[in-house]
Amino acid sequence: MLHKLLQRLDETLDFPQAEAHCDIPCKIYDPITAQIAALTVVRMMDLIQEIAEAYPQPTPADQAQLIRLVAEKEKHAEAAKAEVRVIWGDYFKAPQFEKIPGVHELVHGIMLQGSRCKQGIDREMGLEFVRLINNFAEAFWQTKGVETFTAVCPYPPALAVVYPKLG
Amino acid sequence: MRHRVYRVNGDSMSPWARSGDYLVLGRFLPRHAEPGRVVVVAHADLGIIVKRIVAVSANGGMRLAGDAAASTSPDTIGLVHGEQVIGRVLLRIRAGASACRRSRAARRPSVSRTASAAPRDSTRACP
Repeated sequence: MLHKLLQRLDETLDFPQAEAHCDIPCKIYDPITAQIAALTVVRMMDLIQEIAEAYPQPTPADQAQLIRLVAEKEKHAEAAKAEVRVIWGDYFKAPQFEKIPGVHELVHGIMLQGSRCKQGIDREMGLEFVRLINNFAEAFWQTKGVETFTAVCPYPPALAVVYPKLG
Repeated sequence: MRHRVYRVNGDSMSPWARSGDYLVLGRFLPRHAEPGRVVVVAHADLGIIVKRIVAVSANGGMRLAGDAAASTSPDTIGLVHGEQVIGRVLLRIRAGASACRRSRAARRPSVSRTASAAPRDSTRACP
């Protein structure tokens, strides 16, 4: 009864939270893992396309390879989403939200885009996934006061990636 | 003290308090620094946390711990001083449990606690 009353008040007054986390807050956050995972998604899309074009009559070996590529695409799309969720959920707090007011929409967009990448092999979907995660990386480094630059990653799929200027 | 009611997020104080429970705080004075008491603290690294005092040093520094085994360790939390304490927990209001179950969950045999240090259970009137 009392709890329900407080819950209703909470909806209006938004009581502050007292954290009772069991996690060890290691403070190690870096969006590069999400960026690499997103690049991997695009790479898997490319390799899937190559198999489809090179082997119109796939052998069992081709099919086995295709299954592996699809599984990796799925895994890395999910990994990218998870990495972004952890940074947004654990690292971002009031000061970071103030600095990056659009981060909620950005993270939500990344979640949806990651799912689109899992659902198909449209490369454009993958490119958009990388672009959104690059935007997230830029926002993350901005909260740290670290400048960023964009460079093409020196490996396939050779896409533009946001990196921090460290040093 | 800006706020008197806090919502618990996480289960490091389980079974005494679980995620979604509410805590009503009272002012924290130096004499309230005693083992067994539950406090809400503004921690420099961990944010606003709820933990139990497990030891108090001669200079008033407090070691805090969660009730759950998997809680962040006292060593990770470090010594906490009175000025960091937002308030002591006077009342805990739990979600979705019967009054009697709540009352039993409030007991914690592993920490010796004086009657004055024990936060008042919202269900203490339960027969």
